[in-house]
Amino acid sequence: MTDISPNIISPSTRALAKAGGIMTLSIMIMSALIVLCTRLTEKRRVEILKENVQNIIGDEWQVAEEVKIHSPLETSAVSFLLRKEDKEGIAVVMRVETLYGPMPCVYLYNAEDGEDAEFAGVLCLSGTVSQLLKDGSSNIKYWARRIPSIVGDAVVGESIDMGVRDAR
Amino acid sequence: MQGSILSSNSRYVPFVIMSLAMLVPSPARFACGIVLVIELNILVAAGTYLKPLKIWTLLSDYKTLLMLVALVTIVSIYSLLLGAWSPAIQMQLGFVLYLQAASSFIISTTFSEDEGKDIDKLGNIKQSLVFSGVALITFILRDILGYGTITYPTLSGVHELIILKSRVSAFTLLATIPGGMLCTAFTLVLLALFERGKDILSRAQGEAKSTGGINSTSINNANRGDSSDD
Repeated sequence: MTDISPNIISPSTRALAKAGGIMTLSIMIMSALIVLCTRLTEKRRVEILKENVQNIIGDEWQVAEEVKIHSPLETSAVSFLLRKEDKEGIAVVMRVETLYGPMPCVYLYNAEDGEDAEFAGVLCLSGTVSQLLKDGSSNIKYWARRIPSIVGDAVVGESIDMGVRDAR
Repeated sequence: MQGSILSSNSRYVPFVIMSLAMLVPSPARFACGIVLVIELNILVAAGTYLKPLKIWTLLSDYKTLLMLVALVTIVSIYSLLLGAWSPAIQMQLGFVLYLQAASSFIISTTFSEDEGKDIDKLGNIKQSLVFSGVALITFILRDILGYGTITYPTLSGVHELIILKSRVSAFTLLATIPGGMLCTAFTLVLLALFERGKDILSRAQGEAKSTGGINSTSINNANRGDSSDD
């Protein structure tokens, strides 16, 4: 039987394999770091957003738990369940492109109160620019019409699983 | 071209590049400026101090790719930590945070043209800090004139300090993206004038040293030399 020499792999192939191995390992470590940071920061991010949304909408509605949006918009929007006496609604915080740059806009939606969502305000923004956005931005009006079809129907008393309704 | 604002030792071209990546697409709030400037300096420091590590010699053709992946990872982690600190700012900035990692300002500070040449660490940090100062001044002007406030990030979001209760409504333009381009262009023009003035002065001093004294002839020669380069 012929012995196989361990030196059949050329030095350049060995170096390439080593470099590829280091590269793969580095990417795995970096991905693991990103996943770890996501898990550690998720809860706190949602808590702070809940407080900010409550400040915008006042005492009329109470912000409850986060509701997952099952659509690609999940990366630029967060939604919360709202409760008022025996009613429920949805608050959506969405990054909207406006003339003043991207703004985190808060929309309120309750199926009983109308077909469109209502624009409540911009997180951490007051003054003239906030008023100008309320009055005139076409992008804000566009998302107010689109949000009901994105969040779907909220169900009282059951765990909320928002799907995408038929597009208008 | 030696000594002109387009030469390799001038700050003008890298500043134009960075302005397009940072100053123009971002909201006109000082809080956003603080966040972006911190990110810029982290990226420049990371690129400058990671590059000389010995591990890159093992990576052959993969080192450029891995360095870029490392920079984007740093931005991703920064964005996640920002979301835990001030999610309102994270939602506002969004993709603008990633634009910096892909800008040639960061790439040029991380990779030298000549592979055998060491990166000028102090030069990179100095350039980054000077641009940070220029950027913060631009952001604060836009915030005060455009919004009438000075904002800064806090643990629960953004705090607004109202500076001007009544403002000239025409200045609201500075809060918009087109206004941002105007403001950035104005800043860059001032920078170009400053660089040119500095260049004229340094030539005059050079001439004076070689002729043994400062006089009007040496300043005229510096001016003539400068205009013939362009």
